[in-house]
Amino acid sequence: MANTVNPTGTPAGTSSATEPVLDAAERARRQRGKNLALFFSLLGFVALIYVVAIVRMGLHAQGQ
Amino acid sequence: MTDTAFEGQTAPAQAASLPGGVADYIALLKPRVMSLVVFSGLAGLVVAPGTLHPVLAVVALLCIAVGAGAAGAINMWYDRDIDAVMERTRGRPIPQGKVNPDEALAFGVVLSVASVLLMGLAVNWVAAAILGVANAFYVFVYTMWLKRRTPQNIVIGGAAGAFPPMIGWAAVTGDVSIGPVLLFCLIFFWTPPHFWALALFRSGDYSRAGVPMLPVVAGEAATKRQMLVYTLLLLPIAIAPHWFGVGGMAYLVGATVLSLLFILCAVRVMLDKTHRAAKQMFAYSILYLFLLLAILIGEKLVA
Repeated sequence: MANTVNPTGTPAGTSSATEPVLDAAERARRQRGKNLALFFSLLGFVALIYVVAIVRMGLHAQGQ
Repeated sequence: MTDTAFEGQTAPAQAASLPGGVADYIALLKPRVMSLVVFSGLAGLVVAPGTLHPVLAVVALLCIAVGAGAAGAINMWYDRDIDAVMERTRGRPIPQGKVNPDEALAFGVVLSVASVLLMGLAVNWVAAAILGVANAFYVFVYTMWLKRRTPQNIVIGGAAGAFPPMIGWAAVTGDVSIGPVLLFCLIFFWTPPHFWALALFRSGDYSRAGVPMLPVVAGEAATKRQMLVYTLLLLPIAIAPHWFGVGGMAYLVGATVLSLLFILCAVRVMLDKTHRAAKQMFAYSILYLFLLLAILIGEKLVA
């Protein structure tokens, strides 16, 4: 950690008291981002399957 | 090359960094490689005889993109030891400690299986089967078997990247004919000079990682000769789609001019003592394939 810089721009070694809090906040923010990405991916996948089903039923009805 | 080497290289990074975000998982899918794969898949889709419902065409391209990306993620999982050693790849999410290797593997396998199943259910099972074969070829034949064993790794392994036009074509027609085979050959013979141009100016990287790329094993002069041979072979292969009715006159002219320029690049690489010409050839090789496919697509759309 000696060479890293925390989000405030302060060298990591000089702010040992605030660093874990910032790390935890950043960790939570990234996890939330991943959760949202997974949620929208699954939602999109369900919508895609629905649309594909409608299209294929339409094609089937047209005899294609 | 070994697990020990990998741990030695990446342990500090893993300890220092926070877990990765969404961008790191997207990086696992090799988006830049994916763009050319999708474009070649689109070419197969457009030039194939027949039509495909626009929604299903988008789904087919999505499956090609996700399937290629998933194979890339599995490749990054398997090659994490050498990626940590090579300058070009050490910024990838796994060597940086941003994504856990097991998570990367699971991510790749789930997306790979999902893309093949979706292609089969939504489009057709021939396209799905070729997509599955392409993914398996890239992971098992190229990544796990050939890459670290033979300087012919990208010659044979290049087949994996040559499948997308065939997948796009099969998505429309449900079969494989001479047209997609010609497009497959075009990318197959394009791959060695493309990758060897890169390997020439990155040979130190490959040497450190113990990857037997041709410049590392056979030397620069032999590699440059091979590059010239492949660009010469590529000329008749590139114009062949015209003679089989896949491309028109614009394609014939475009493919001839672009292929002659590709040969000229290879000659310049042979004469060049520095790596400047190799870098230019690498950049041109991407433009070459992009333009060839763009002409094919443009001709079909105009006609």
